[in-house]
Formats: sequence, C-alpha cells, structure tokens
Amino acid sequence: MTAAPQHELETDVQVRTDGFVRVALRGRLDAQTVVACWGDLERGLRDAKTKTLQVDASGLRFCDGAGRALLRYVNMGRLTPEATVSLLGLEADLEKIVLGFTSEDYEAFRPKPPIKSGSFPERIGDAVRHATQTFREAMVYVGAIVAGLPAGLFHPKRSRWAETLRVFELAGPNAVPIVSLMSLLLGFIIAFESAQRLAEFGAKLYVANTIMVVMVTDMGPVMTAILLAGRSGSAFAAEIGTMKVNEELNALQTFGLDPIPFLVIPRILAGVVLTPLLTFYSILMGVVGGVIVMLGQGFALPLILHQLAISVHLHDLGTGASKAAVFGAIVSAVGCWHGLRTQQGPSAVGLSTTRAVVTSLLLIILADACFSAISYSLK
Amino acid sequence: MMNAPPDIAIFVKDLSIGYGEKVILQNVNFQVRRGEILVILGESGSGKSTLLKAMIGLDTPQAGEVWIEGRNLVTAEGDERLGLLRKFGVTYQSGALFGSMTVLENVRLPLDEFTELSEPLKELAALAKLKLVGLGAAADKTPSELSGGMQKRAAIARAMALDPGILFLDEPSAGLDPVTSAGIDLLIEGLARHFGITFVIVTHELASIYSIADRVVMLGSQAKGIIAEGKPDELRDRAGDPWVRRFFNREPEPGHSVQLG
Repeated sequence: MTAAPQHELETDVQVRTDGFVRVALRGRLDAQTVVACWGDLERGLRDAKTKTLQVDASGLRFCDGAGRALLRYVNMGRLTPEATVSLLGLEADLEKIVLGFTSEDYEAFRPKPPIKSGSFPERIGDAVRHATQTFREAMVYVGAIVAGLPAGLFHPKRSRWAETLRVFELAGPNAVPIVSLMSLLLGFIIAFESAQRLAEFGAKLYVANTIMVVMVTDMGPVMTAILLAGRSGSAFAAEIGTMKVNEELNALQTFGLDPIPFLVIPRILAGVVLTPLLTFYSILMGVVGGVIVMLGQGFALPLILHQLAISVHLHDLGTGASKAAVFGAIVSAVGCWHGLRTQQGPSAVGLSTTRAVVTSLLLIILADACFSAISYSLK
Repeated sequence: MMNAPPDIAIFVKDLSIGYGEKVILQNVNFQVRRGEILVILGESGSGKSTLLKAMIGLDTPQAGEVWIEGRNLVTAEGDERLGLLRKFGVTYQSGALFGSMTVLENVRLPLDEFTELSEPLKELAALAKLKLVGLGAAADKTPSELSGGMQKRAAIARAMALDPGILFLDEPSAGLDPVTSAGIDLLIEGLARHFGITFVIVTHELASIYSIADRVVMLGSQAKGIIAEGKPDELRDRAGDPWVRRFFNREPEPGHSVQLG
C-alpha cells in the first residue's frame, strides 16, 4: 500500500433494526485516524443489538500497524461479542497480514494475570527458608575469609599486596578531603550543642571533654565507617558485581583462582588497616572543629588542650581503634559479599550496591551496640 | 525539503565526521533506495558505527547532510526533528531492551508514548509485532529471560512499533549461531519484501551479507571514506581494492602467520 496524501478517514456506521450493522471505512487508517474511528465504532455499536457486523474496507488507501490492530480487533468480534463479523474488500496483501493474527494468537500471547502469591504461612515459610539459606551462605563466606586470611597475609606468592595497596589508596587517601570536612563540621556541631546545655550548669569548659569522649569512643569510628560504607563498600560491590556480569569471575575460577583470596582478602586487609587510620584522622579533625568553637568563646588554648588530654585514656583510644578495625572489616566484607552475589540483568549491579550500603550500615550500628554493651559490662 | 527522487529514502551528502582534530569520515556520499537492504561494511575503526550514529542523529557531523524521507536530519530541530525520528527505528548491538520491562511492555512503549490509541489496540498492535518476529509466546518474559537471538528479534519488534519506513540495525547477527542468524536474515528479508521497509545494516557476517544485502557500502580505514560500493558478488569478484577482495573471500593479510615463541 502506498501512503495517501490525505490524512482523513471516513467512518460510516449504518445500524438496521434487524441487528445488521454495516461499517464502511474510506481513506487512511493510521495511528492518528484510528483514535477517532475507535470512538465512532464504540458509540455506533454500544447500544445496537448487533447480530451481524459487516466491515467494508474496500475504500482504504493506507493502513499501518495501528489500523491493522483495529481491523483485527473488530474482526475478532471484541467490539460485538454476540455478532457474526465479516471483513470485506481488503487488498489481498493486507488481508493476508490482518488475518495472519488470529483470535487464538491474541488469547495465547496476552500476558497472563500474575499468579497470586501463596497464603500467609506459605510466605512466612518462604521467607524463613530464604533467610536460612542466606545465613548458611554468609557463614560459608565468612569461613572462606577466615581460612584465606593467613595465606593472604603470610604466603608470599598468594599475598596480593599490589592490589591491597591500590584499594587502600582508593579508599583511604582519596577519602581524606571528605573525612576532613565531615569531621570538622561534626566537631562544630557537638561543640555548639553541648556548649548550650553545659552553660546552664556553668560547665562550659567541659565542652572539650565532651568532644574528645564523643569523637574517640563513638562518633569518630561510626561516622568514618558510615562514610566508607557509602564510598568504598558500594564501590567494592559495584566493581565485583560488574566483574561477575562480565564473566571475569568465571575466568578467574577456570584459571583455578578463588575469588575470595584474589579479590576479597585484599579489600578486607585494606579496610581493616585504613579505617582506624581514617578514624584517628577524623577524631583529630573533629577535635580541631571543637577547639575552634571554644577559642571563639574565649577559652585559652592551653586550658582546652589540658581538658582534652585528661578526658580520655589510652584504652579509650584502643576501643575506638578496635571498633574502627571491625567496622572496616564489615564494610569490606559486606561490599564484596554483595558483589559476588550479583545476579544477571541491567539493574543487578545497582541492586547489589544498594544492598551493600544498607547491610553495612545495619551491621555497623549492630556492632557498635555490641561494643557499647561489652564496654559497659566490663566497667 | 529536498527535491530528491521519490524512490530515495536516505541521502547522505558530503558527510564528514570527526572529534576535534581527529577525522573519522570525510566526504561520504551515498543513497539508499526505498525498500532496499543496504549493508555498511568496513574494518575495525573505519567509522561504521560513527556513520550509523550520524545517520540516526546521535552524533552531529562536522559537515554534510543526512536526508531522510526528504528532510535533513542534521539541521532539523524541535517538532520537525521528533517527526523525523519517528520515520525510522533503530536496533543496537546489545539489543538495548529495557530490562525492567517485559518484552510486550518494551514493544508497547513507543505506542504508549506517541499515540493515543486505546489500551486494547496498543496491546494488540504490540502483540502482532511480536508475532511477526516470532516472539508472541515470549510477550510476558523479561529481556534477561530471552536468548541473544530472541533479544535481537524483540529489539526489531520494538523498533517497528510505530511502523517506520526505515530500520537501522547495528550488528543484528553478532554473536548468534548460524541457525539463529539465518532466522534473523529471513526476518529482515521478509520485512523488506512484505512491508517495503528500507534497511541500513552494519554487519560483519559474510553469510548474512550474501544472503540479504541488495547493495554494500564499504568504508576504508584512516578516513578514506567509501572504498567500494555495489552488490556483494560483484565486489567479491571484481573489486579494485585488494582489502575488499580479501574481505569477501575471507583471506588474511598477506604474510600473516602465527609468530611462534
């Protein structure tokens, strides 16, 4: 069929009292004209008790995919379920194409309604089974890490120090600017907030103690770990996930190389070493922020430094460092774990990244709560 | 509007493409007749994909014109450009189906966005396109559940959703087994014959080229532009450029051998 210059379609619907309806289509049946034609047919056929529908398409000069869809829909009797439908006057080629898609095809190809999910107990059962399986896989993963760590640390041929250093640099020194800004602002916030409360008791000097204690024991390690989870944990998941999608992990395995020592152990080592270092830096910047606020409020620097020095003990710094090391291991291990579990598909890597960050945050808070409980009970 | 002969669907005129100082294609000229299957060939780095991108409006050439159905895509803007973009469909090497949608939703997308058809008609039109490419039964699957060949077919169905007169296909048979590849060739031939669709195809598959190409345009490396143009059999037997003859006879470069050690 060749394109007609006109863009019009004439739809003539004749309804007889004996239930015979004749529809004549003349002109161009395309995506534009079909819209009005559909309305005409719906209005014309809605109230007619149609027993026989005859569609005369001999006047059609052009018919595109939308037009063919309309002819098929009418010919299948979808507009007039009770009527016998006949389609007349179609050009031979067009008739072959239109009738090539049958009512049976339509029924067979239409998407089936989604199967309702099981009953409540079934869903609970599924969730428990899934959780158990995930837990088992997680334990196997942790076991593989524990088994691989000694070789990763002490076996000269298996240690991948170049990769560890590369990850260390990406996750560590490159994160210094953002850690500086965040910690400095954190120091400001803690100083301002605590100064208002302590002023009511005439104890504004103890702002220095508050900053030091809060930064060393909690805020420093936790905020650094949160930042690492968002910045590096997600990057580990995305990097390893993309490797999995690109079949690079399969390539490793066919060389006889296990992805755990090859990819995971270097990242965990880098995370365990760099998180305490970044945490100490974060504590330093937080304290600097607090000191700036206190200097602004008229306190002398030697007095502030004295208060800072007496407010924490060495074991507090040890606790902060231990926390940071554990948080670093969590962030690295969880990021790699979700990277290794990446499925196929375009959204899979994004999903793994999101899961890595969310799981890391949850486990960091959980681990922090455990540290607090243990610390309290020991005292 | 260009006063081109009515049987010309695409006219590429003095097209030069490059990035900064680097020239990729220079003064490329060719036409594609309505209903013709034209294959673009060339060695790696010869600018095939760049040419295709310029022809579908993804890249702006440094100079020259791309006339599609009598309108210049390079200078078209706003509604004119949108109207022109709907005159052709494109499939990409990876299929580029939207992974979050089912196959039917992928094919329905252009109908949902650009037509005001009723819901049943949109569904029916999309299902008919899927049947045409042999994927009716896969309508409610997601792209990740399809094989490579099925994804290419689904991509063709989506490109045809708005009944364009021209289809640009980038490596439609790449990575497919010969049987699936032959099926794609048959589909392309059938669409050209029954619906009069004009095809511009970038491919390296010799079997496909002999099977479907009405005409071949061959690009040379180092911005040489078109080094040969004609029917595949003619180029195989009578091409002046030795590289063209080697390509069609599947011969390696002279002196090429495995360097042991």
